[in-house]
Amino acid sequence: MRKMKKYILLLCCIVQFGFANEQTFKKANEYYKNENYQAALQLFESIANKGVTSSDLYFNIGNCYYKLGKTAPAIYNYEKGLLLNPNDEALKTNLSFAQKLAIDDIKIVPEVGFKKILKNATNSLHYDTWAWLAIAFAFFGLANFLGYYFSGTVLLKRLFFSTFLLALGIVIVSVSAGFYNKKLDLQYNPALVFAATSPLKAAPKNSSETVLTLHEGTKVNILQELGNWNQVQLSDKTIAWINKNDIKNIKD
Amino acid sequence: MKHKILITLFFISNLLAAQVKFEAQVNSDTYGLNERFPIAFSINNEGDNFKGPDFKGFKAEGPFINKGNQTSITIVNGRMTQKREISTQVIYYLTPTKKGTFTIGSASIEFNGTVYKSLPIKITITDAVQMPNYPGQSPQQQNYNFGDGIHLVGELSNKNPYVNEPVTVVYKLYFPYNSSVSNLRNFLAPKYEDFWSQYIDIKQLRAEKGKYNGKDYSVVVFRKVILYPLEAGAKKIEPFKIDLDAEVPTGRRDWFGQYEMNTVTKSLSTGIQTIQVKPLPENGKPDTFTGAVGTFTFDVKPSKTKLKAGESLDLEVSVSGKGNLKLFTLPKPILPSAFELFDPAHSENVQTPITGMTGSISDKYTIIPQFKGKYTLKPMLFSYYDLASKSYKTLTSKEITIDVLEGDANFTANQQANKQTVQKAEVFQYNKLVTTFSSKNKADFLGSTLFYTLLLLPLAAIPAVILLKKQKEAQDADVFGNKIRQNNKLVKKYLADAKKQMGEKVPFYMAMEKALHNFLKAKLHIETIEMSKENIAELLQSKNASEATISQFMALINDCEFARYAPATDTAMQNDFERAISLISELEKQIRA
Repeated sequence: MRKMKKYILLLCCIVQFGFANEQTFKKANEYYKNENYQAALQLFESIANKGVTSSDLYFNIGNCYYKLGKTAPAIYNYEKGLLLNPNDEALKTNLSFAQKLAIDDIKIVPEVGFKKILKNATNSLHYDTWAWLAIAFAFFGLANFLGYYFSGTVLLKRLFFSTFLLALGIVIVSVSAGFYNKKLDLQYNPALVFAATSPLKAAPKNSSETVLTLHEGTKVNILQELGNWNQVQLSDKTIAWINKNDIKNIKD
Repeated sequence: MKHKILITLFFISNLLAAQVKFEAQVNSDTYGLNERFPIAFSINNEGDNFKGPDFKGFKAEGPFINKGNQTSITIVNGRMTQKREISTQVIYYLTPTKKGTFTIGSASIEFNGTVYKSLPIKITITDAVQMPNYPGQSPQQQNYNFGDGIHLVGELSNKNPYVNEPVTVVYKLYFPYNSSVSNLRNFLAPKYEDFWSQYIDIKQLRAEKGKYNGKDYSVVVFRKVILYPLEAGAKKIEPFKIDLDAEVPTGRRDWFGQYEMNTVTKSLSTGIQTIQVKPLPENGKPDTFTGAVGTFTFDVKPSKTKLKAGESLDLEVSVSGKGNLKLFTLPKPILPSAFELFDPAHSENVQTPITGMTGSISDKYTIIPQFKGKYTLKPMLFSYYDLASKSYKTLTSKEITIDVLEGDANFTANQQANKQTVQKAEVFQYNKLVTTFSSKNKADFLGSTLFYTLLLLPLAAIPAVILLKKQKEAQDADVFGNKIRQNNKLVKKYLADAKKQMGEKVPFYMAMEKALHNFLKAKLHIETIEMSKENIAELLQSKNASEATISQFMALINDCEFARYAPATDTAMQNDFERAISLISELEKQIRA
C-alpha cells in the first residue's frame, strides 16, 4: 500500500512537471507576442534545458533568435527542430528566412540516381518506426502462416500463404530500410558555423592553405575529427578542415 | 697645344722606323656614360680616302683633321740632314648613348696606293660618373675645369622610408653666380622601378639663391618627383642625366676688361642613389590591412535603407585623407545571401602635391535585395598604417540596417536559380502555441534486445507451431496406444471415484468394477464384449501373470460383483479397495516383465 502511494506521488510529480513545462511554454509565447523576445527566449531555453524536446520548442527558440537578429543561433534551432520533424512546413519557411540573413550562398549539389531514391525512401520514416513496422508485419505474417497451416480449403490456404510471403517481404524490407536509415543518420553530423568568419583549411593546421572562408550561419557536415579540427563537407561537396570551436553540432 | 706636342713627339720617335703607321687611339678604355672622349686615327704620313668606322652606341662628332708638318734639321759632323715629317690625325669626339662594352671597328686610309687599316678598339662604357671628365675643349680650357662649379643634385626627402611612405625627389641644378646655364636638353629620367612615381610639373624654371656644400650658388629646381616605394629593401634610383650649355668665364679678360665667357656643353648626372625601404611592422598588423599608409577617414553610406525587393540601392564605400590612396584596395562589403551585389564603380579624386597624395577614393556598389526582410549589414573594417604614430589603426563603419519591404520575390527568385525560393509561404511563420514534449535522451529501439526479441518471436513461432502440430498428428495416428492410455486414465479415474464413494456400497462397487474392467482393457487389449472370466484368466496367463495373482484377481472381481447385492461393511469396502490397488500394481509388474 505504501509502495502504491509512492508511485501515485511520482506520477503526480511527472504530470506536474509536464504541466509546468506547458505553463512556461505558454508564458514564453505571451512574451513573444508582446515582442519581448529576450524574455521569451530565456523561458524557451529554460524548457529546453530540462531535458525535454519538441520541434515546436526549437521552432519558437529559432523565431526569438531571428527576431533578435542572431542569424546562426536562429538557423541552428530551426535545423534542430527539423531533425525532430523533417516535414514541418513552418520550420522550413522560417529556416529559409533565416538563411537569407546568412552571408554564404553555397550551391547545393543534389544527389542523383539510385542512391538518392534509396535515401529518400528510407528517410520517409524514422528508423525506430521502421523497426516497429517490421515487428507488426512479423506478427501479421505469423497470423497468416497459422491461417495457412490450419485452414481447410485450398483457396484459403493459397490466400493465407501469399499474404504470409508478402508480410515476410515487408519485414525484410523494413528491417533493412531501418538499418540503412540508421547508418545514414550516423553519417549525418550536421554542424553550423557560429564564428563570424572561419577559414576552411586544406589540411588540419593553421599554417595550411585556406580553401575558402565561411561566415556565420553556414551548414556543414562533419565527416571526421582530428584534434582541434573537424573535416567537413559543404553542400557543394567541397571537403576541407575547420576549427572545431568555430562550429556547433546540430545533433548535440 | 699639349696634345699636339705629344703627338708630334710621338711621330718623331716613329720616324726612326720610317714606315707608314696607321693607328686608332683613345686615352682610356673605360668611360662613364656622361663623358665625351676623343678617338684619334693617326698616320705618319699623308693619306687619302680615309674611311671612318661605324660608331655604334656612340654619338660621334667629327671628323676633325689635324695635319702636322715638321721639318727637322740635324747637323752631324758638319753634315746637315734635313727631314720633313708629315703626319695626319683624324679625330672624332664620341658621346656614349648606352652602357656596355663596344668595339669600334677599324678605319682605313690609303697611302701610295696601299690601304692601311687600324686595329679595332674595345671600349667599356660604365654608369654615369659624378665628375665627368669633359675633354674636347682646348687643353687650356681643360686646365681651367670649366663648368666644374655646376652641379646636378637629386635631393631625397627621406632615405629610409616605410613601404608606401611618400618620398620626394627634387632635382636641382646648382651653378655659380658668374655662370649661366641654358638649353637644358636630353633629359634622361630614371624609370623608378619598384616605385609608384608621379612628376610634379614646374611651369617656369626660376633661379634662386641657394647653398651647396657651404658655398653660395644659384639654384634652379627643374623637376620634382614623388615616389611611393612598393616593396621593402635597398632600392636604387638610377641617375638623372641632363645635357646643357653653360656660359662660364674663361678666366681671361677681353679687350674691354670684361671676363671672357666661353660656352661649354656639359653632360650632368646625379649618380646612383640608394633608398633603404623599411617594411611595415608585422607586429599588430590587422587582417583587414590592405596596404593603406597615411591618415584616413572611412565611411560606408547606403543611398537608402528602406526599399522594396527588386529595387536597387547604392552602397558607397569611401576612404579619404592623406596617403597612398591609389595604391590600396577598399574593403568589400559582406552581404547576406539575399542581396545581389554587382561589381563596384571605382572613382578617385586624388591630388598629388609634393607632400603626397590627398583626396578620396570610393567604390560604389549597386545592391538589389531579393527577398523581404530586415537585414543587418555587418560593420566594415578598414585598416591603415599611421605614419605619425607608427602604428596600425582600424576604422569601423556603422552597422547599417536595411529594411526590405513587400516585394515581388517571385520576380527575383526566377533570376537566381541557385537560391531557395520562398514562394510557398512568403510570410515569416508565427510561433507554435501548443506542443507535446518528449524526453531528450530516447534510446534507439532499432537494434535493441526488445526489438530483436519481438522480431524473432513470430518467426520462431512458425517452426514451433509446425513441430507441435506434427507431434499431435503422430499421437492422433497411434490408435492402439491411445486406447491403452485412455484405459489407464479410466482405471485411475474409477479408482479415485471408488475412494470417494467409500461407504456407499452400490456406487463404490460399481466404480471398483469399472476400474478393474478398464485395467484389464488396458493390459489385455480387449473390449468389454470379450470379457468373460475364462477368457480373462487365459489372457492373463499368456501374459506371464502368476497363478496366485490371477486367482486372487478373479476372486476380487467376483467379490465386487456379489458385494453390490450383498450387505457389506465399511471395513470390507476398505479391504476390497486396498486389495484392488495391491493386485493392480502386482499385475502391472508381472505383465510388464
